[in-house]
Amino acid sequence: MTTAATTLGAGAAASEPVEPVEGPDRARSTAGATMTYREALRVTLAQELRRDPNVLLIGEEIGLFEGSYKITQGLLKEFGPKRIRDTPIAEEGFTGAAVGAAMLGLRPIVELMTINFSLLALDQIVNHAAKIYGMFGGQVSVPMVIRTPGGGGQQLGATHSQNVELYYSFVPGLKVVAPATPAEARGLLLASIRDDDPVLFLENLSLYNSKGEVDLAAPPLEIGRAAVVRPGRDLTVIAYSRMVSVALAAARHLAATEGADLEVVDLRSLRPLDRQTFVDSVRRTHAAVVLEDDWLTYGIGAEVAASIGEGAFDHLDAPVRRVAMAEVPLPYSKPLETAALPQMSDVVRAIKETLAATGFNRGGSVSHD
Amino acid sequence: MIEITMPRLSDTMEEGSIAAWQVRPGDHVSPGDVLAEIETDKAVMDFEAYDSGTITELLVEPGSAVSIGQPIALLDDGVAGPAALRPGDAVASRPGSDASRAKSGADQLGAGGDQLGAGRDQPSAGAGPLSAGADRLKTRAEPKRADAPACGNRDDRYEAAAGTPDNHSPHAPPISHVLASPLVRRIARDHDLDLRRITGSGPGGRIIRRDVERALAERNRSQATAPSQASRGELVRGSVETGAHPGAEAPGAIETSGAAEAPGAAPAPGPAEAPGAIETSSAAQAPGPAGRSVAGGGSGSGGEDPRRPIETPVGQLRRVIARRLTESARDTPVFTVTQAVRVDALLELRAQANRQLSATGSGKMSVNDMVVKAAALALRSHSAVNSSWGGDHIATHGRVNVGIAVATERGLMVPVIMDADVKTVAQLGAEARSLAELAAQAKLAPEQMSGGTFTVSNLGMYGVDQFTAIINPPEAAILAVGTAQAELALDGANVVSRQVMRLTASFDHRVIDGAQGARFLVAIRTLLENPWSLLV
Repeated sequence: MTTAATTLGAGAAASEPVEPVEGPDRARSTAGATMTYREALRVTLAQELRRDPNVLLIGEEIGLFEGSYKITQGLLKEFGPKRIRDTPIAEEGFTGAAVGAAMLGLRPIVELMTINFSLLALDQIVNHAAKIYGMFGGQVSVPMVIRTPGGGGQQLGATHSQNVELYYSFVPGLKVVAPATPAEARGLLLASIRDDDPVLFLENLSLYNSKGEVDLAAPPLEIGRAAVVRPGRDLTVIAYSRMVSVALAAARHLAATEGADLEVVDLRSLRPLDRQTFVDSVRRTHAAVVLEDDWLTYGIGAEVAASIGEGAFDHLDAPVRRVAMAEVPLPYSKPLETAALPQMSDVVRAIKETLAATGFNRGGSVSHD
Repeated sequence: MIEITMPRLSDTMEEGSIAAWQVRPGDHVSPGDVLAEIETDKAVMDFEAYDSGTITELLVEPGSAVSIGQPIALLDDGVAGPAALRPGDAVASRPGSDASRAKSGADQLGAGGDQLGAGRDQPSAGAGPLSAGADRLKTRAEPKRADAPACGNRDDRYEAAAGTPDNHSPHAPPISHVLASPLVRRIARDHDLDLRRITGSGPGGRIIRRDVERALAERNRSQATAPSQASRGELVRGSVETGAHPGAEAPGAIETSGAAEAPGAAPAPGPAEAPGAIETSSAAQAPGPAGRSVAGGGSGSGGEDPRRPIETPVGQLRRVIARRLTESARDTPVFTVTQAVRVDALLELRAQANRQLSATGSGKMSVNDMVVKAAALALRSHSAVNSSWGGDHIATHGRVNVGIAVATERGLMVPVIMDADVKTVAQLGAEARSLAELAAQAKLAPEQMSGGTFTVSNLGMYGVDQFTAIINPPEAAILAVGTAQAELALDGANVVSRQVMRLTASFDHRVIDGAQGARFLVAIRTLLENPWSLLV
């Protein structure tokens, strides 16, 4: 593994044909290993670095320091400084460098230490990475990945605890994925690296240590496809990233305490947004609660709720509810931070209220005589 | 041109019906002229003109219910304006009004939606800004399935949501203003259900799936027993129903109890079913023309069964009674306490008093007036009963306002006697009679039916021993009064005859505990058994 990726010219862009995609959940059937989200990312990066010599990593502290969150542990040693590039603290500069490298046929993976710092590279991401393919008539593509963690709850203060994936989900020309589990982290990272468009790959600080089964032989997941991760009858909970685990926990809790049978949809991809999957789900359950780890107003939940209004209007038996964080800069103080972030109890309350609005648990079965 | 709209005539009014128009198109009206009699959930009231001009069009048929704010007539005041509009248009089409702007905004939205679709079909057209098609700027590299996710708002249901499948005639009551979930509206469309006849159990009275499925199940049941919906419009005189259940329809009955209504409410009471088996043979020979015939176990279908159930449309008042009592029965944990009261002394006092009153030409005193007085006095000393559940607080009322359940031909009305505790029995009697009279004529003003803190319901005049009544929210208790009759009792070792009347109080247990309820009822008994205390 010594081939440095120096090929020039768009014509040489090694856009490997995407492997045939199976149903997203079928991937789990093959034997896999239990690993953390962090480990799944690291292993997958290493796999892809080995597979494709045009893949390279670039970012702050990813080489010698092996990553602020140790996602890139051991990679410098295996792949050398040419493919694992430490950079100065200059997000706009190295993101721009990656855009240029991608235009010339490489497949750079940028690590932004947190999504908060992506704001410094906003112009490169929004005005360059996202626009170049369209503005130049499809003559050149930008096959790059920007890996970056978001998420509050770590007492990092207001400027280091944001979830600004919304800014990117808004922009045509970008793709945005948000894996919720180690298996999704692997499957979506593979898809992102092999995709010919710029992909913002959203990680989450509170998920790095979460564990799950990962099938290291499974094919990539499909970008732009959500998954029903828990089938249910009574109400659909829609979430992504960290909130998927909250949704599943709430579903288990309400199944035990209320006998409620909740369906949970994991969006996985914020752009393109798989409206079909959650609209179909709501058409079955007739009620929805949308969770997001972010501010409510103009949020991703608003987009999801509006899509339900368009696609499942005649199937709704109660208004769509959103659960989001308090609309404040996230406080540093632990109790205040906890109060501001959407908690399991908030989610459970919104679900119970929505269930109550549909007459759930009131007066037994509908068809009694 | 002035749009005359359905006024809000009471606090709880959501819609009203035109009981009768008092004007016709072409009539000239001045402020104060009566335009129409409007039936609300509580009363029939005159609706007067605010402006002068000529009535150009009546938009609502008598008997049709329309929501507050809905145009009901057009008045030409000499100022030019747009031509007639249909009630279904709501307040929309006055140019420049907020509503019309909002509406055209919605149209633009629709157009935007179309653009989305177009953008998706032709990603290179560059027509629609922010088109979903831009998600796939390049089609070549995308896996095939990626087309589907973006299509969420593109299939048939999108058109179904945007279209207007309801085909109302211009003067049909606006079903769009019934509070119902979108799912319910679709089910109602698919099954040709009239949502105005369904009571909603969702938040704010919204009709939810549960309600509409229940209604469908009921309809299926009634169709199964008498599959002759096609000719339900014809009424058959002297049907089994009215004969078999005179009590349920007796116009004079005073009742609040939902239980008392049950026989009348159930569309297919027992007596109708057994003979139905005989009818089916003849009915089978005369199958009804089309209609909704249900293939039910060879029971045949026909439109001539004289004993089939008769559907009577539910009027405003009955709908409100149904909703309020359903809410009460569903949401209130009730306990009841019954107490036998010896009323020999009371009846004697009343007889004496009435002899004197009739000598002076004054109105007579009724047992009910004395019960109301006793209840009012007991409420003053047992303020826990004179309270309301407020969710996070209990409101204890300073005034004692006693409602009196009055049966009218239109249904139950509960006029309220304010400050009953400080009025004499004679005053209470006079007021009760005048309120009952107004109720019978549907002339009660809304303020005469609000503010009650307690209700007395008396079925004693029908010889009823005792019964339980449903609490009239937000009150916390109600008193059900049975008949006074002679009973044998032991007085020491002697068997004696006594006049006994049974009182049953229903209490909201969230507000009142058992012992408090018992003390309250005992207080009423003590007052009634020592009737002079009612007069001091």
